[in-house]
Formats: sequence, structure tokens, C-alpha cells
Amino acid sequence: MNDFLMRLERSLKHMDAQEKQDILQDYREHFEIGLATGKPEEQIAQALGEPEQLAKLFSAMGAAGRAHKSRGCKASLRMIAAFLSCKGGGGILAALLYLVCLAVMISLYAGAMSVVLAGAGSLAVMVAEIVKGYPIWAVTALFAALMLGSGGMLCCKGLALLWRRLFGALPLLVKRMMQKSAGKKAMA
Amino acid sequence: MNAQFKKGVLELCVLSYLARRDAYGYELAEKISSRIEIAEGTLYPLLRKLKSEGLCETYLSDESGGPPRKYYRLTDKGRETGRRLRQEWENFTRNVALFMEDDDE
Repeated sequence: MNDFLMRLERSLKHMDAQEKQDILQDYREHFEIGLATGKPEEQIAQALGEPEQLAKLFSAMGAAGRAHKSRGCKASLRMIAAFLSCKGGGGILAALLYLVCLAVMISLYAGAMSVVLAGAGSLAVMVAEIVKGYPIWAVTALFAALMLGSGGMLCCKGLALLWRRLFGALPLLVKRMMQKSAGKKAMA
Repeated sequence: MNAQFKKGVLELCVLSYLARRDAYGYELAEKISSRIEIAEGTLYPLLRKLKSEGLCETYLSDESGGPPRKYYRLTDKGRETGRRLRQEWENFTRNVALFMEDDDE
């Protein structure tokens, strides 16, 4: 493996081993054909460009797409890491934006969950009251608690939908940004 | 040349070349860089993107006797996209040229 390929391999981050091998194979083939036509290795490498910049192009392409597919904590972390790896392209800004969105969504979600819990809790109390003596206020409150609980659940559902939208749109937006900035550098 | 120009043009060049014949990466790099100064390595991310967008597909072939080469072939969608891009490009360059020659105002 020559210097170019080694530098490229080192710089290819945030992707699975198979994808990495596929990418390396394309460049390996490029070298093989070039060498077979009698071109010196250094000249081929020089025409290809900086492997570090090329790696950024690949990361920008792959990372956002994959984070979009997988969910949960790991995906979020990977996403942030991918943003940060593209410093030039407003990556830090994008990571911050993403974190803020994440924090807002989590707190809203917690709010909705506590409403559900409050509903469930008062429901339990009311049921206990009704079992004890069937007071009329408890029946009324029972309905109120039911409403509260299901309202909270609706909020949760709505937030989940909203998050999915955000999760879909934001990575795409950032992906464009990253590709643009990485492309500019690699081309220059 | 301006890097932003090149990036858009590279895709157009690849799609036009592949519309004429299937090609392997090295061949595309040679042909394009003989006319336009590019970092040849940027071709491979682009080809990967085109493939993931369904504009082209790949197959291995070792017709020349050497090690197998990865060939790129346009899909119908790729052909269509290439045609559209080319049209846009021609309109664009024509209008820019007209604008630059326009000294009436």
C-alpha cells in the first residue's frame, strides 16, 4: 500500500469497514492501471489530489446519510462527530445547532411524559377513591385525569413525528453544506 | 479555475462521457483532466454519489487482460439527468455569453 492509500485509509472516518475497503479499492485500481501504462506513482498521486481532502468528501457524503437511517443515541453522537470533522464547513455550528435541537426536543418530550405520568397518577388516586366510597367528585376527576393522560400521550406522539421530520431535514441540509465546503477545498 | 465552476461541470462531464460509452474510473479521469484541470481523485466520490442516486451502476470487466476494472454504466435515470443538465448548461452559457457581449445599455 503506497503513501497516498495509507493516508486515505487513515483519513476515512465514520464509515464501516466494507465501505472503506470499497473506496480504497477504487483508488488502488486507479494506481494499478496508471502504473501499468508506465506513469510513475508520484505523478498519479499528485494528479489525484490530497487524500485528506478527498476523505472529507466521502465522509460528508456518507455520514449524514447513515445517521439519518439509524436512530438513537449512537446515531446522534456519530452525527455530531461527523459535523465536527468538517471544521471548515460550519461543522461546529451545525453540531451546535443539532445539539440545541436535540436538547429542546428532549425537554419537550420530558414535559409531555410528565403530563402523561401526572394523568396516570391521578387516575390511580381517583380509582382508589371510587373503590372506597364512590364520591361524585372522584368520578369527574377520573375523566379529567384520563383527558390529561391521553393529551400527554398525543403530545408525545406529535413530538416524535416532529423529531423525525427534523432528523430527516437537518442532516440533508448539513450534508449539502459539508459537500460544498469539502468539494471546494478538494478541487482547488 | 474557480472551484465552484468545476464541481458542477465535473458531474456534467461524467454524465456526458458515460452517455457515449461505459468507462472505468481511470479512463474518465484521463479524458476529463486532458481538457479541464481537476484533482482527479474527486471523481471517485462523485461516481459513488451518482451510483447511490441511481444515476449509474457498476460492473467488473477484465476484457483488456489485466486486472478486473470497475466499469460505470448510466441508468435510464442517469441518461435523463444528463440530458437535463446539458440543456441547463447550454442555456446558461449562452445567456452569460450574450450578457457579456451586451454593450447596448
